[in-house]
Amino acid sequence: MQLLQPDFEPLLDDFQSERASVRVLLIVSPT
Amino acid sequence: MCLAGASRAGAELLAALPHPDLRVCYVWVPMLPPDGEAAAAIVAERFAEPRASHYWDGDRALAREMAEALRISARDSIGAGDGSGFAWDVYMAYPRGAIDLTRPAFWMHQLGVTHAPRLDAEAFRSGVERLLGAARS
Repeated sequence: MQLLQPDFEPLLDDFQSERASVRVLLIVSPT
Repeated sequence: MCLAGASRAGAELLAALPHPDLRVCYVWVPMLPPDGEAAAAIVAERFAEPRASHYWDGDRALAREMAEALRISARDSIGAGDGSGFAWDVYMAYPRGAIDLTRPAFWMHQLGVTHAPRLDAEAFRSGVERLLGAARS
């Protein structure tokens, strides 16, 4: 699990690294 | 409630759609008293899958930004207050090539919001299948 810092970079990198993919993004609480 | 939504829109979706071009990004955010990074790590392990990635939004920054983008108010997300709230229990889908997080192709939720549909796992999966079909053409 990665921290979403700074400026959501890990997530943005994820989106940009595999642009052939359809993505689902879930924002959820862990309990 | 929240974990059930994550399961239906995440793990069960991946199980139902073995397509290699589908990715699920779980962003775990602390919204309830027992929430914490340790709890998130446990559920991240539970929902581990090669096509899944997990992130911890400990300061709720993405939840705030997406609330503003999706026009989710404080009243609709935490039950009180004015202004923008938090995007949590929110499920978004993006077509291939999308890089703007604030503009999903469609989204569902389990909040008090009325301008987007509440989570319907079958409808969500159908929408994702349409995006995958479009991705193949």
